[in-house]
Amino acid sequence: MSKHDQTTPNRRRFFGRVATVFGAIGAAAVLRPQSGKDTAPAAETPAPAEKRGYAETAHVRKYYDKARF
Amino acid sequence: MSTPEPQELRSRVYGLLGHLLAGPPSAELLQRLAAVETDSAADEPLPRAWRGLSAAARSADPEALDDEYHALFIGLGRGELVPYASWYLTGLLMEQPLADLRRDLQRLGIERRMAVSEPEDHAAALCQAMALLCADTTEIEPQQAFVSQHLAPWLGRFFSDLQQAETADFYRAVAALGLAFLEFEQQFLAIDSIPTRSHKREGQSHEQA
Repeated sequence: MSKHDQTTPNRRRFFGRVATVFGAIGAAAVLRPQSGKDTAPAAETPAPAEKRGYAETAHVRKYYDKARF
Repeated sequence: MSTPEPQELRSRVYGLLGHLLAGPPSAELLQRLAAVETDSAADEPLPRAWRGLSAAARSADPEALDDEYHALFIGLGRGELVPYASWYLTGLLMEQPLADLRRDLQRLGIERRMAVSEPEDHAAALCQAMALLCADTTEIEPQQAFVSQHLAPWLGRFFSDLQQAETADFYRAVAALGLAFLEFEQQFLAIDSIPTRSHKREGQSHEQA
């Protein structure tokens, strides 16, 4: 590890109290953003449509689905 | 296989919360959440919250979850909750907290993907940014500063609101995990720490709405 590890013994002890829970969550959720410095989407990704100020995103499709009676 | 380091496991929890707040979970993720059990019977907030989420995943219907997510965060006009820091801290969208966040993300070298239209102060994006921070550095100070500046002032309130939201069912369990993890994080990061300048700035930067 190139950087100085500041996970001190006290932090490790504190972490150890719930380490098995973290292990379980970690096993179920290997979901962190994959590539380096890049935040993942907060919600949806607009379709790469023509630049006319309107894109039919998943949000928009969902809106019309929900509004259909 | 070696045991993952604390920062790797913390990163995964942030990643999971970010994923669940960014959209409804897939059937595959629900299966994984339901299948993994912990041998910890401890009656502490974090183990209890995890058992709750796992149980909620076992009884969840992916289609109903899609509707639940939509009612909570998107809605017709707006969802029951507005999951943005600016909204919680100022009562308006895209306000000073977003500007402060963008400045700090730029300094940390984290940026929004080109295709993403949501502002960076969405609860999901903040969790994902913390997932990156935990994964990329073992240095505690940047993590402390980011949590105290951008998560602590409002994310707990957001999770409390989510836990009590009328349309929430599965997401109550997500909120319980979020609350328990946030409490854990604040204690974990405070151990052996020296207050940073960001801690001191906190009161000056964001007024509670």
